[in-house]
Amino acid sequence: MSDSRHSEPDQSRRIHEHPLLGELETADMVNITVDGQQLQARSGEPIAAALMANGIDICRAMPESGESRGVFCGVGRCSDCLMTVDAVLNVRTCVTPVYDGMRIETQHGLGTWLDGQP
Amino acid sequence: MRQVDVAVVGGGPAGIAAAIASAEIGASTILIDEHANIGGQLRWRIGLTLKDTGGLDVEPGPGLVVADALAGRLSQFDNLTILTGTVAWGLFDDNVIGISNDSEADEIKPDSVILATGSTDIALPFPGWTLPGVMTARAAQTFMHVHRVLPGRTWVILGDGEEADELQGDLERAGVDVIARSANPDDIRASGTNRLTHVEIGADVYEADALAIALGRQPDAELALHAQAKSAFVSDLGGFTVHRDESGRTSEPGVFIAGDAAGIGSLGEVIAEGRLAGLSAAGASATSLDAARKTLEEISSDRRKNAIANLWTIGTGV
Ligand code: FES
Repeated sequence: MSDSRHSEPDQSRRIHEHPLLGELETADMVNITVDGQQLQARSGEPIAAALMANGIDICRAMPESGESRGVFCGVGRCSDCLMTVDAVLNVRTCVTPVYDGMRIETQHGLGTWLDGQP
Repeated sequence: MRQVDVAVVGGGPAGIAAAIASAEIGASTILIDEHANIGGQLRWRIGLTLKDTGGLDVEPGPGLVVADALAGRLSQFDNLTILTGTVAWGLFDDNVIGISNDSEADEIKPDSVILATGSTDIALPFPGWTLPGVMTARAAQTFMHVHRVLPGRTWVILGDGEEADELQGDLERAGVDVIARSANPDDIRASGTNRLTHVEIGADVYEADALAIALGRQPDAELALHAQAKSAFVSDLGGFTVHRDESGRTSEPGVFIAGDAAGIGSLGEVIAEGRLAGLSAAGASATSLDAARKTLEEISSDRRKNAIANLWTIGTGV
């Protein structure tokens, strides 16, 4: 898959000011890598939120059709947002917090474990 | 395995009211919530305002302010334990609840359990509904308000009711554009390669990077169903829901259900119901039960009262 969607990190989707919620509190930033590209995330935010803030909306590709999937329910119910995280397959990124050094990969189909087992 | 008098699953308005009611009369109480912060829908439906307090001792006001006030109240009880970031994933024989968080799993054995698990969004399929950029209203609200990130800048809303109005308000507050709305899931088509770029409504084509499904909410009663509580489809309560009386007592001994999980309602209704369930589960005196019942009676819409009354009468033997 082409990585063009990763080429220009776009942090402008972050909501810094909000009329009801006020100013976004500062947070510790952590480094994560997404398909090999290093990005910044707010410590403790869900992976999918960090990705979205960096302009990435695609989490995985379906096993047969190859169609893209991204956040759908946003609250851990639907499994559309599964990705491979630190070599663990099928992680629900909308409810899994980032940590420093986390390695995240777009999951293709069912993914592959490190030992090569599907 | 931990033993307690009352376990409440879900830390939204109904669950908080139940936990406070139970703890107030001295029952050892555990409140379990999967999110990082207590407050439930008050944390993502930030346009909500609490008008009726449902018998709960809290100042009416904006939902977020109320959520913080209630979180403060909860922390004052020595006999109340709050487990956030914890998922209750099963309800087994003798009301044993399976729980887990990021690092460990455990079981809770309460005398009574109150399920206040809230609602899930109703999602109907249409062409292109699986494209990234298409999401439920709750996903949009959660990402904007809890995680503070915009899922998109140019939005189409599917839905024409209160939920759609609420979301439109949320999106406008966040400073993004809502360019079209459709009431009809049979007449909408989402398209794009890899992610959403276009939405067709009838003959009109819109360029949009986000499409929210705001067709309403349905009770999330999975744990009650796991415990094999009797259920029925009641459209006035939002869909499949569980047989129960006004105090939230289900067909299963010691299993109560309250709030949106027991039928989609107003904030006042779900709080008053949670409070009554909490008092009932913890074995409150007849006097306080009567008072809580009266508050609920005053707050509840006739529609909800009738739906619940019918649910209970058809319940036996179903
Ligand atoms: S978006 Fe549904 S589980 Fe993550």
